[in-house]
Amino acid sequence: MSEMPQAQTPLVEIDMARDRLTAAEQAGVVLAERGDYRHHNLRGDASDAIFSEAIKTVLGVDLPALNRFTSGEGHTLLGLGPDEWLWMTSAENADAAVAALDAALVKTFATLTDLSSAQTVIEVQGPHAGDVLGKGTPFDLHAREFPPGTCTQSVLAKAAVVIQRIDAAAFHVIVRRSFADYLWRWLEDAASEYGCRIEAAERRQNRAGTS
Amino acid sequence: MLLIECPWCGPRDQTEFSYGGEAHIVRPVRPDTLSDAEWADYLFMRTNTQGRFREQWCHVHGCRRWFNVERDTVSYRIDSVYKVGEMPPEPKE
Repeated sequence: MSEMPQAQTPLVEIDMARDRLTAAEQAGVVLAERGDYRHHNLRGDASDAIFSEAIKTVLGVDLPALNRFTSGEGHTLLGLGPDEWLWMTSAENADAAVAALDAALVKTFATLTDLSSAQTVIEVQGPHAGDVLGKGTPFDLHAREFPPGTCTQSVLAKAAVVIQRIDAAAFHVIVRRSFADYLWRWLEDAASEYGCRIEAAERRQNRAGTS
Repeated sequence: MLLIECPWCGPRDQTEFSYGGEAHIVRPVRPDTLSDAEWADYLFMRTNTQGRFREQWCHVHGCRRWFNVERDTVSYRIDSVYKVGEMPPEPKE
């Protein structure tokens, strides 16, 4: 039998080893792929007690309101719509949690769709992270409008993305894999004026090993 | 560019939305009893309003929900935004 196909990062064509700026303290923006998450789309009725209790019990985090996210115990839930969430977790947590959710949600109407192979996360951090993203999105990323703990869907350089504000100087950009290579190159170009550093090439191996 | 207030997400740039044409077009209850002309009227004929117009928009690059907008087609001013299944608030003159 031939060798099984291997999952690989959509950023496989990007040379992560090439460091644009060697000194980390000079970098205005640091880019890294966070390919080590499992992504699931979760839909259900938040006002349905069976549904919200099942999520709370299995994942240990509350369902967030629209355009907010909650994290804890290795699970993150992002509110994408009035009845739609993105659940992100590590590969180690995923299989057991999916089985537990499957059992807990059997009494109500809900859907859980694995999107792990469909999208990836690009981490954009550094003092100019917001400036770089602001070049490509009409959404107001100022901390007054978009504080840590909030997320949004919008367009970034014409690509549909979810932007998650981790803290004052760090964002996660969740993008479909067919746009990931393009968006990474756009981010590198947009960040070059501030000094762009590429980090964590070893995470690519993680991704190949876990998924 | 329009700044459209999504009833779920708040004010967002027009590039996040797609347009869905005239709102409040009701599907006939018994399509099989209609004449071709009546069916074609339901499918294809839309008003070409000059002035205040109720139309559908979808926040495709946001929460992906459809909603209704009441907009002036001359000035492009948006008078109100309301969810699917609701009627627009009484116009304030």
